[in-house]
Amino acid sequence: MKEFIKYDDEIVKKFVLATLIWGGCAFIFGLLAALQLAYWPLNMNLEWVTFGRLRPLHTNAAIFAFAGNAIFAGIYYSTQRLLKARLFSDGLSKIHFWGWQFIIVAAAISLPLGYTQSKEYAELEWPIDIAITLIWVVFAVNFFGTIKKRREKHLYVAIWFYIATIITVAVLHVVNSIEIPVAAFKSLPIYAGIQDALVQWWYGHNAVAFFLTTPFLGLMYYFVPKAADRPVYSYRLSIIHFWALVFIYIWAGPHHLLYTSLPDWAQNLGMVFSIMLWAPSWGGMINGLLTIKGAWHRLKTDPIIRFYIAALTFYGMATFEGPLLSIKSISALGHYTDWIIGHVHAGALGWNGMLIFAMFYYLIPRLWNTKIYSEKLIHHHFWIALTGVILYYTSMVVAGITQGLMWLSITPEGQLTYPDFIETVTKIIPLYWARALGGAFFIVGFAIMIYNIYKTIKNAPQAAEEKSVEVSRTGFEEQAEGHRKIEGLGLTFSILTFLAIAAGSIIEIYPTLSLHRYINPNDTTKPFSALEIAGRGIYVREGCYNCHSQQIRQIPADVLRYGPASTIEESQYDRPFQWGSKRTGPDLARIGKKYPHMWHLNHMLNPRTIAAKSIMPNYPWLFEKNTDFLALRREFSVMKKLGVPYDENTVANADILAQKEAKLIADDISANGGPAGLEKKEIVALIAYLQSLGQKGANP
Amino acid sequence: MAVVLNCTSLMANTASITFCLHCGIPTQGKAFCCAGCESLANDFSTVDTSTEKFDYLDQPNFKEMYRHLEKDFDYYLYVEGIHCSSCVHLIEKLNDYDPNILEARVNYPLSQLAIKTNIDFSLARLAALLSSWGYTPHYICTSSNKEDFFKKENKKSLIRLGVAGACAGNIMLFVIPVYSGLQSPLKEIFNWLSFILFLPVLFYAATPFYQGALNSLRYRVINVDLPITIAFLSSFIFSLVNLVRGNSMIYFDSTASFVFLILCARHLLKNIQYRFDNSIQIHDILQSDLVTKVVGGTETKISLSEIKLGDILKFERNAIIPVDGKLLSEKASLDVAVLNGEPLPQFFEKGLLVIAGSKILSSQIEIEVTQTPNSTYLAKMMQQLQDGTWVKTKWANLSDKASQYLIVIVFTAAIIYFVLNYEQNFNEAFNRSLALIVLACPCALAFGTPLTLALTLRKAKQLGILIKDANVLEKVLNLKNIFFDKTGTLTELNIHLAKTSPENLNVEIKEIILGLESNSYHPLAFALRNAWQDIKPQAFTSTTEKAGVGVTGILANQSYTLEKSKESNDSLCVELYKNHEFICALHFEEVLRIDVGTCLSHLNAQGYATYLLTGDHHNRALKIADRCQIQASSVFSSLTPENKKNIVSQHQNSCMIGDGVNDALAMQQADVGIAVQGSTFVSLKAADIFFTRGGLKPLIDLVNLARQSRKVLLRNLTFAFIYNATGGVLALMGFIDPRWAAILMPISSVLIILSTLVGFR
Amino acid sequence: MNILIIIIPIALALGFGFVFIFVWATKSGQFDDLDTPSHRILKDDERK
Repeated sequence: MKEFIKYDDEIVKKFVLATLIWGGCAFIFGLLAALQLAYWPLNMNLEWVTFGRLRPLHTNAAIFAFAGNAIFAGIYYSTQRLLKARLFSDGLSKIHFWGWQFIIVAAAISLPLGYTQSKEYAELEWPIDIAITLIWVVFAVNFFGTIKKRREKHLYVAIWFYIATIITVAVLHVVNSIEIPVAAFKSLPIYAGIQDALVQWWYGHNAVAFFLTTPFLGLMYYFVPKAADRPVYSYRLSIIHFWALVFIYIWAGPHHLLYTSLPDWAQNLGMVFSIMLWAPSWGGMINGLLTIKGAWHRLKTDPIIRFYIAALTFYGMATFEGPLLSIKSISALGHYTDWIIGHVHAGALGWNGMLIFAMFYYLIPRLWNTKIYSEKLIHHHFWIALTGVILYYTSMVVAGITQGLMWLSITPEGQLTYPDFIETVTKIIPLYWARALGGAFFIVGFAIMIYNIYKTIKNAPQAAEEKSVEVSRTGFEEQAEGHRKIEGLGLTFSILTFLAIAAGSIIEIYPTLSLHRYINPNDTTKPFSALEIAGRGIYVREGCYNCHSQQIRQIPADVLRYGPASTIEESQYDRPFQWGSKRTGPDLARIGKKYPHMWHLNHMLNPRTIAAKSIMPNYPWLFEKNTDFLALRREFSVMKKLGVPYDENTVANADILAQKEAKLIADDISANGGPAGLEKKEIVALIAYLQSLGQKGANP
Repeated sequence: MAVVLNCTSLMANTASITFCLHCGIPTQGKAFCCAGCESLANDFSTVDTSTEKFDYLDQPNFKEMYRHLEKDFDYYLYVEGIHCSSCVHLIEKLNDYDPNILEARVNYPLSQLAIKTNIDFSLARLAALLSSWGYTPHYICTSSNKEDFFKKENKKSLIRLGVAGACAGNIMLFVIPVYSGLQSPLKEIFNWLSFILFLPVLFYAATPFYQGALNSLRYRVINVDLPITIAFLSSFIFSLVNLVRGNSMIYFDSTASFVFLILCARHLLKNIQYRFDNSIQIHDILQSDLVTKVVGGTETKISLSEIKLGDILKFERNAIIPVDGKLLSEKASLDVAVLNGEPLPQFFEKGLLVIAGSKILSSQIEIEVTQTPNSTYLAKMMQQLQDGTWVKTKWANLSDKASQYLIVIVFTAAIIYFVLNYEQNFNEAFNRSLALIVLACPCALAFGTPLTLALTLRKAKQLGILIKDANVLEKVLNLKNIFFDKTGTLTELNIHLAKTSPENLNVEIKEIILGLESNSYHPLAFALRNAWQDIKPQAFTSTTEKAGVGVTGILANQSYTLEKSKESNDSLCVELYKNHEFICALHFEEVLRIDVGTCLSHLNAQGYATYLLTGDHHNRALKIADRCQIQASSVFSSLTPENKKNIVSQHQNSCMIGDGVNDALAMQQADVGIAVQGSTFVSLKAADIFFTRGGLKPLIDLVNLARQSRKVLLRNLTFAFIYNATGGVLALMGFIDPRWAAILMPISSVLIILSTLVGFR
Repeated sequence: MNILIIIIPIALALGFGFVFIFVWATKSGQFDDLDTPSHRILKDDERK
């Protein structure tokens, strides 16, 4: 049954080019952020490019713009060929492409402006969240439509990975983005405190799993055999790899919250499943490497293979390190340090980046019907990029372990060996420089790639006609009625997978929804006051959580340094939660009342006046901008609806109450020799919030 | 893997290697490794699709016979030569080359092709097409139910596996929180959930064990399923009781994973065994070629399965006769070397019985069938070979026995312990007894041994060694004395021209001799042609061949005769007469098989005593023995079959290697009887082992393989012993609770399986 | 506790859903031949 069809390669080309453009942006943002940590003046006293706002921009660009577009390019290219069918709808493909680019642009504008939900990798505000949902549905319809009209019965393992990606990411995104709008670009999550933390890290972990792992494994299972011109070493193993990974991955999220106030059983569940993940992950890596092993002779002539070897090796490293870091005792050392940053970049630069480069070097000559401009430049790119990643990774692991050990170090007398936090920071500044250098290497390599690709495309035959390919229906017949039993599959599978993930998620999130069971019924924790809420908005906007945690772990060193371990009750009204994941600066959970208002004022104006070697940016604009008191009423009414015990009066007069509080603080500042007339300024609200941290519990 | 193996063996064998221009697989001097690669690299048009050779396939009865009615595809073929991705690609594109094929689907590991066709489909055209691409197609008859049955069972077992795995995984999800100190009432709910998830395992996944246990009780034979079932059910009931009572000792998770892991191991084992069986089936298919049946004046092609007693079949020169039958043609010259090791052709007169396996050297002959292919000696032999492969060996019996004792001991110990201690602490006593039972499950033994043997036999087969009975492996290890037959074992069946008398023959005489032999397919003729390759035979006006005696020809009114030497009884000498006047004599000599020298020196070096047993003259035997490095004192010549047997029987730990009927008695007498490639039926019957690869190298391989096999077995048994002894004691002392036992048990099984698999890499 | 009334059915649906997919895939022959598909993907269809 011969048929002539045309694959839609135009859409693949578009996604390829978008990947390259956004990839460049993501890398530059990353480099700038890295340099800011090594040399604080690069924050430039500009609110839009301070580290707190730049880092989300970097992570979002890297994950959703760079990796995202690359995934779509790879999936659209391979799916058509694996299923022997043109994409379901050209229109949907176009909507998917332009919609996604629109989302990225919206993110690139809104994040520097400070519109953020402050949830890592899910910072984008609610209108963009809705747009993401819509575009993802377009993608899903386009993909499952293609499965429906496929001519090949067998679903190659890559397709299974894509299916898992599409369904799971949809569920993850929707569940984590359940929020109530407060303004055009501001929302409050329906979860609070520990609930919010657990949902967020269930999402955060699975974003890594199902956005940066499963689709790339699918791509690996398609493009590595293609490049090596060898069938995958063991197809059987790849199928087992799929089922094991999909089943185990979804449960591993709580390993991001070890030693926090999360109940022990949930922590243990996350730990056990994280450790179990090691086996299928390595199964996949070994399968990939052994596929290439059959093609060693191509290694000499084919630089692409090297990228794959590097990518798979980094995948193996990262998936070994991940379970390792999920072991409680190791997490105690590594959590909040740069080790995690190194771990993540071994995955992102080493695994995702290298795989994308290899895939593109394979795709671009085929898409543009030409030869690559220079093989030699590919070699150069490889070695430079590899040097960059290794430099990045080693410097961050060393920095992380160094700092982690210093934090944990306790003298025989039971005192902290390094009580001064800044000591532990200055120690690793040289490593920040090394990291930035590594990133720069990676960018140089990328620039070489861009040049190589530019030349390639420029030399490509112009106006090449879209050629049709001859395919035949294999494995099953097209029935006359146009109805196939198997076609139920796509839908059934989607629904069942949805149910499965939903159920799993609910079980995991359950403790959060039954929070009352873990909260002492005699608890007397007070919610934030009006001005504190206003200050909290500023804290979130400036991305303070990117460098400061608000969660004191149940380990001696943390308790010695920051005070009693955080409890579930203390953060029960936190919307969004601000537990953080990194301590570039010290934990702030109990910073309140520790220092006078003036201390905070000076510190925000120029941290160097307090700690000479601080690397924190200056925040001069907080002294100029006025607090938006009016918005508080709307925010308070939403919070009351969500169950925060505010009385009617507080909700109705939130703005007035806030201004009263502001006056008190402003007066205190001017009385202590500070500038007068700050009561309307944002700095006062922020100080109010900072001073409230750790003061709301029953026994402050 | 197979491809890679092929490559390395190719590399070893060929001096000049080229690589396929498309896929890089080494090829022997060709640009591409297969038509598939060629088609992908070049614009590919089919060269020769003349179907003449295959036209018979389009007779209606063939179409019916090969058509699979109840399956997804219409025809199934075994396609020899599928070896790379390009092959798969090309063959699945058959529709491009034959529009009557609607769909083609390749099963790579089985080298099978399945096609869907429309009504105009021509079997002949497809066969011609595939063979023009260099593949050898064999249509597969509607297959035995055995394969379908296996596939069905395999799916069932896979589903059971999936159910058990999913349930075990989910149970674990609910159990980890409980272990980590989850509090009531969630704890109770999670425990009940794990109970519910356990039910599919109890009622579905574990059913094969119940069946096995029932059989065990019914036939009063202790098997592994019995303890598995008992451990499984007692663990379940124990957990259920504790669940109802609200106690904490609930082991649904480990019990379910225990079932899951055992199912995994069994699934794996079954598949390996099936693949082994399956490779033999393919061997059968290869033999199922077609024959020409003559009815009246018309000829039809029929398949082997259609041959009936009394059919008259016609065979061309070089064909191998697949049946036993009565010769209808006047005369025939047959190569029966396979039957009796005799290097020279045998001559048959009309009415004599010819036996399957004979190769036709003269022109075409007709035969009346007296034994259909399935009941010939050859078939019976093959049948025996196959049946023999799964006979339980002593080793297997030994470990079965061991596991039976183990079960008895373990249960006795557990019961005694329980009876002695239950009054003090019922739960604890039950716990420890249960732990012992669960822990000491003899799966390790029960899986390890058959798996080892299966892998040994499979590897042996790959090395060209068919082992009838795995029992013999043990004897191979103990060998001390190795007896060799001469002709066909140490020497080739082919002969070569050793010398002439007078020594230098002039060209004219050589031309005359070659001319006389120019129409002959006698091995001597080949030996002469080989020796005098650059000489052109004289064209005789007429030659007449007198079967068994010689040939006479007329050239320029002179009569030349080439005949067996009358003086010596040595059939390896012929003489040329011109008008009855002696001109010259030609002496022929046997050729040593290619690797005999190295193999024997290897065996000697390893301390084996090697002997030569032959019915031949002493001098000739000594000559060969000398060349093979066999001591003159170990050469026994002019032996009858009984003599050979007697000599062998005087030695312990003996091995007889031979090929002919005259070796059969000795083979049977020897501890290990080995028939080399090309042996006679009778000797095949007597032998324990049959080499399908030429030369004696397989003997070396066999010894190494037997050692490897023993090593793995001993490792497994040692491990099982240590594990059971220490584990059992620890369990009774209370250091291992049933939960850990249930985790350790399958892990030990998996370790045994892994150790076995690794041992045979 | 009322949340459990939702969780339990969905959790079981999860278990049985995955099993169902697996059973479907097995029965419909997705796992029948686990070697050839890896070969099949290697060659692109010819462009004409």
